Amino acid sequence: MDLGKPALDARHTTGRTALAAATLLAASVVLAASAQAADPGVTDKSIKIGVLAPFSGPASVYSKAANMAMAIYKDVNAHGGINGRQLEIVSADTRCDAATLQAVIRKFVEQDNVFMISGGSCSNAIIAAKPLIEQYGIPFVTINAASAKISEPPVRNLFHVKATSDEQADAIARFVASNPEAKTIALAATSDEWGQTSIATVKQALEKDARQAKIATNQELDPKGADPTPAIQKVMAVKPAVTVVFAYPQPMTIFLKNARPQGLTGPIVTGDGTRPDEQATRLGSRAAAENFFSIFGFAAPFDAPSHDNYKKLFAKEYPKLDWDSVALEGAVSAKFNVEILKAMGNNVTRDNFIRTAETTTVESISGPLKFSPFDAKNKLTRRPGIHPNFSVLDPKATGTQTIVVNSWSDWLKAKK
Amino acid sequence: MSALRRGSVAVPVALLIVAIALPFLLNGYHVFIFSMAFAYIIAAVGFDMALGRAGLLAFTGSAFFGLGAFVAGRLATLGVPTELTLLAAIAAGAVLGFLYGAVTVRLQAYYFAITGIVLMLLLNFFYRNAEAITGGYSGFSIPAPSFLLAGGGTLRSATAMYFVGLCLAVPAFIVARLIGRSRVGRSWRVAREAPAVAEGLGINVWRARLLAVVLSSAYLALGGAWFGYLSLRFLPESFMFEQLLLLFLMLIIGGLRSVTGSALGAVILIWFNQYLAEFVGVSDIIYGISLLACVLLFSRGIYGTLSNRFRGFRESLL
Amino acid sequence: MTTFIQVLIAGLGQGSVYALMALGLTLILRSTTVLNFSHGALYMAGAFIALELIRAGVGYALAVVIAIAAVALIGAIINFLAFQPLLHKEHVTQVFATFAMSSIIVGIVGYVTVDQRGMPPILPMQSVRVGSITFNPQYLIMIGVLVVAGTALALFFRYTRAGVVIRASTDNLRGATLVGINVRRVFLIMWTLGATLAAIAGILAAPTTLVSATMGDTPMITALAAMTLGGFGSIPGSVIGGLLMGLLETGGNFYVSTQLGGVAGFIAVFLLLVIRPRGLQGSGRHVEVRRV
Repeated sequence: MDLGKPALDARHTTGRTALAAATLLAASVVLAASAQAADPGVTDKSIKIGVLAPFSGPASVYSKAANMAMAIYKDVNAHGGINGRQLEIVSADTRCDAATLQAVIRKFVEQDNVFMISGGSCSNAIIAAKPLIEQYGIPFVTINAASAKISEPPVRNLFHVKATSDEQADAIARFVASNPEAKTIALAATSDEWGQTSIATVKQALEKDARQAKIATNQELDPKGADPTPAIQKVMAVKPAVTVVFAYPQPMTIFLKNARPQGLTGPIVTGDGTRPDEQATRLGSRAAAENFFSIFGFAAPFDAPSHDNYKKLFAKEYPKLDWDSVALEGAVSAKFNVEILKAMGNNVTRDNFIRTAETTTVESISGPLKFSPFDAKNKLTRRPGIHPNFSVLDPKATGTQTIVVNSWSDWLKAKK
Repeated sequence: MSALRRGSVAVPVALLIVAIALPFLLNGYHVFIFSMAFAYIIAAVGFDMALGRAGLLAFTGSAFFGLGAFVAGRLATLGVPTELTLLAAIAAGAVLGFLYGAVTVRLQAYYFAITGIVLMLLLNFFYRNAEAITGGYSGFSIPAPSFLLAGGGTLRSATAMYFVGLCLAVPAFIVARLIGRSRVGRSWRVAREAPAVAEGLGINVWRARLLAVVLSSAYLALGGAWFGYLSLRFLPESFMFEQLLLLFLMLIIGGLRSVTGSALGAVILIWFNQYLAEFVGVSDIIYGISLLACVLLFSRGIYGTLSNRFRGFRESLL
Repeated sequence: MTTFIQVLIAGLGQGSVYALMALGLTLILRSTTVLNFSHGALYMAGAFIALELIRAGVGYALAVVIAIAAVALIGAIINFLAFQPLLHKEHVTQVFATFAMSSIIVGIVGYVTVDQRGMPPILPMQSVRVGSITFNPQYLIMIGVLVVAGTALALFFRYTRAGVVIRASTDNLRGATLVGINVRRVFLIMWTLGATLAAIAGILAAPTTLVSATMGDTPMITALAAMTLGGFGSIPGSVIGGLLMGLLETGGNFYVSTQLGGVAGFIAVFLLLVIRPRGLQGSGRHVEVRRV
């Protein structure tokens, strides 16, 4: 520990201070000049976007949304780009692994120098990466990851385009509450992560918003679709007015296949894991999928003409993949990105992206997407306000056509 | 003889100099990947003690790797300084390794392997369900490391994390080397190749194997603890079959029973995984073909085969 | 009582699939000493190829036959590509070569499609009612196939010349070579046979689950646990172990909790190993790992 030499420093201080000040001044001039220079990933002719998704591995079926997004970006390029700039796409496979996702984000930012990131299907991985996303400050717009924790607490540059899991649960609770006859509710969910976390959120929402309804039972289903008869029988024993079931397509098919013949005929409500028309096709019978309501994040039914453009685009780029709501959902986030980039005009900076995103309403097939100026205490500032509807088989049709309803009275009207 | 000795010090020293210089030459992404490699170097050189040297079909890699991340991460959320969380992780690995090994080490090869898988599944079951302690499916956030010795400030920069990782990996590497060459290491070799002879030589095979399990578990836990700090969050899903496979591959590709080989395997696999992420859609195919080619061409791992060739070449020069 | 019989049928049905998997794995293990980590991929490939053919309009029976033949061919390829070149190398190396093949097969399927699709069942009815008991007839077919396959194999190995030769070769590789048996042909036959059993298991199980590139991951692990339960390397043990795993899983789902069902089998395996380190039927002979 050297306590010496203060006197010497004091004598030379003035000279040193002047030099330091001059350097700082020069540096700030240079910095100010370079601040006008473009952000990373932007040139006169291009904007670089990093797309990440679980393209392989067990969650790969959700990467179709990212495929849809890339198809849209390609289409935008074919039609002249955005304000004269072509979208340059860099993609990477995260395999739904948290460590890989973080490494990919670092690569996009520090090596590929992307302007923004479009992607995110795996909630846990994104939640884990939040501190990193926040640190980098790069605009990150998710595609179909649903967990409420992604935007709670919100991060300024992380835009969560989705009707989140808690918003879906609230929608279910409101739907149940809008049915005056729903006094007894039964819950059932597969014992995997999605089933259990979803049903817990729904339970909370019901207890808050649907107080006239009593939750009489909460059963577990096997995620592999093993015989659900005991669970069904316990559900029927409480004579529920409405049953809320969370299961992925396969176990849901098994549930419906067994539930209806065994006498569970009341309305069944589920999350956005599967659609009634999809179930009717799998079951080979319309009857088994009737009175089955699934959360649906779009304003028009799945087969509506307003979705045809996207359907064609997807089929052109990815002829071997099935067209379903996972793929359709990718269009929402991609449309958002494209509209915000357009609205920025020639001022293509990350900061301007965030500001423009906060103040621009984008029309989409999920309704108007509107974020608001960032408030660290308000998760809604980083959510676009998508109000999920419900998809149900059209009671007046004979095939697998669906309609979109929002409340029990909508449904009663549709049945007349 | 002295020429060979000199040669054997020059290379590690040169590598160390390169390692110290790297963060100043590469971008943040590369530095982070190397940081990850350090965590895995620690895990791999330890795992090799059980899998390679003692010849046990230890399927315990990801179980203890995850345990380390859990223990260190949980304590970190309670404000415990990082020196202590890392020590706690090592202790947890050693203790659970002892309890597990004491019961299972006597089992024959493939049976022992199954117990490793069961341990991994049981720990995962615990992490997913004991929500109050573990955060359930989505785990918990692990705060940035803060060392008492460094004044308690939190480390956030990629370079700082890199150097801490290096400071953990180098001693771990050296100790593993020393263990490998010690009497313990030799007893593992005899117990692996000729258990009957081992008993005849007075080596208690059961005890030697148990020690291998305990040491490898402690190493894996330390590697996992640092992995946790680098990953920013503890997630139960991160410590299942994919993680186990990665650890296996590091040893196989790098070279079993070689500390340098395991370390080399760690670096190669981490980089290879990253490289694969760019091959959207075909990464599995490339992964499989590369692995097959490696296994067909390098029968003793990359390091093993190369060092054989190199040794022959060096000897021909003398 | 009704529940019990339903659990029994479902458990034995599911268990038959595991038994077929474990059986194939054990046959390959006994004759080549390699634990085939591509078995799950072969299981999946059988289901996937059959489903793609059915979707393309091929009749169910023909699609199944072609799929099995294709997977048998893949088994032969694995034998030539990933096993024979490594004949004298360490066990670990051989095992990882099979794992590499698994990655390639899964990768190819994953490249073709990421979708998870349903497979139509063999019989059109989804559930059958006998008295008060309802069950899926697919389970009976699974049990039936196991019985037929098991009997056929037992007869083959006992009474045919080829079967006896293979058994001799399996018991004592060196002796067999000395006696002039073409061991390479034995390897080829056993790999093809093992792959065939995996494909059959996959096609049987597919209607009760979803067909996707990763559908073979869990059954692979369960089959390994089944082999352990029944005694590693024991052929009857693999069948018993497989049936037990099916019963434990289904029973665990029904009587305890579906979360437990998945791990019930493994917990049983763990406990068994602690109490009886050689599994139910194991003699310990085939468990020696030469050199890791």
